[in-house]
Amino acid sequence: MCLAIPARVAELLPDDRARVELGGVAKEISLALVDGVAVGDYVIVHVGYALSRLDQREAEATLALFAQAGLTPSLEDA
Amino acid sequence: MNTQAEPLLLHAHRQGGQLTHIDIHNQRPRAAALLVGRRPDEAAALVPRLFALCAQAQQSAARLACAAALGQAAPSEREAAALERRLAAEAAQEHLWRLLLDWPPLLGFDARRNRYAELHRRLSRQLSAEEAYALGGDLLDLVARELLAGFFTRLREPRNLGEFVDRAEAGGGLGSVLGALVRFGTAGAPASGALPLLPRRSAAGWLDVLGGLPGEDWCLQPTDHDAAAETGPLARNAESPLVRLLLEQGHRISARLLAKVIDVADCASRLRQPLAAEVPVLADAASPAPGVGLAWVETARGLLLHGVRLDGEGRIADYRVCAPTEWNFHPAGSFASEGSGWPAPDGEIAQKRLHALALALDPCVAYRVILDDADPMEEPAAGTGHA
Repeated sequence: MCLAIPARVAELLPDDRARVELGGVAKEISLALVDGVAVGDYVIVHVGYALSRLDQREAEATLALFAQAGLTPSLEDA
Repeated sequence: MNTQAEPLLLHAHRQGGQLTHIDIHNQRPRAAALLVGRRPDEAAALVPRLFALCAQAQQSAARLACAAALGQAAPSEREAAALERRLAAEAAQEHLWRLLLDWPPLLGFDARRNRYAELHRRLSRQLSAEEAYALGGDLLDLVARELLAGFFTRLREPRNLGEFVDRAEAGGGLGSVLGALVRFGTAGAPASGALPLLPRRSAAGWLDVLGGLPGEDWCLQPTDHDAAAETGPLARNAESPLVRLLLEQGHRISARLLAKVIDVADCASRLRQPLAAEVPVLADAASPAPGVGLAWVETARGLLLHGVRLDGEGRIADYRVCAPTEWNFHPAGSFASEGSGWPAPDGEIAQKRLHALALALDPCVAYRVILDDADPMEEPAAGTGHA
């Protein structure tokens, strides 16, 4: 089971790509699978793709839940 | 979660030009603990936020298990049909990711990113019955015209492996991949024989076999009547004539790849006519006692089980999840059994075969295949893959 890892979009890049950040780690991903992503949005990242968009409150709640269970998902896993 | 980059490490050991054994380190996160202490409706809302893959399947399994525990009535026919459509769309999406993005590059072909992106968007949307019907038709066209076109030019099915490869390579992007995979050859039958395929059984049947809710240890390393077994597309489609032809010739990895395409066609049929008699349902639930529920969903990768026990106040006291990866990457499972016991004089070829086997068994977490070489003259090889 792959944890849903929410990351913040820090920069939009050419060719439908973006730089996302989580916990001080940055990663370049593809936005080909989701529409209308803007800087500051949160996306669920999976193997180099944004799978879906979610709002900041949802993203923070999900990360808080993982932390509560001792899980610290990293962009290196995504 | 640990600090290594991949939750699933697959160590293949080679000695004297022979792959001797496989060690599997499965560190997948145990997110089920997050549900304990919550109310069933709260848990059902939470589950899809926790998992990147199969969110529909995870949520449906949670809802069905909790509903069974609460003694609620089974879904109406209309609700059950809508559930089948959602699960079929998600399973097709998961399969197409592998078929269009991951398999072609492994065999030297280009990934079809734009085509996948278009299908992903359509399959992710909430679909009305009419939209699902139209999308199902498009998926059937995809299989017949783009993936395996060469098999749809003649009525008679191929009679032998040579004819199979000719048809595969006569048309369709995945046909070329499948043809190349068959030409790549086999490693021979596993020394201990092929693993049993997990039979299809009702949720009540699972409760009988397990004697109630499964324990936490069983969920980490599940067995069927004390034996490891394989779940997923091959278990569902082993009786299909073309899959059988490949199995009889020892091409088990190719058989799994073909079985995934058959699954896509079955998902398309479910999108058009959910709950039709020709295709089995994708989910079931049962309760062995008040406050206890077990549900399964057939996902792209295989059987997903959720089990729940509620306390006297209706909150979750125990929650169990057993995902398909636990079956297929069990220490005695199909990867361990078929990934060893064969001659591997060439490290690069061995690495490619192991990667193909891992992709065919389709783990739901990021993984790495590592070839640990005891032969002193060669460098160890490693390759990564992702869920």
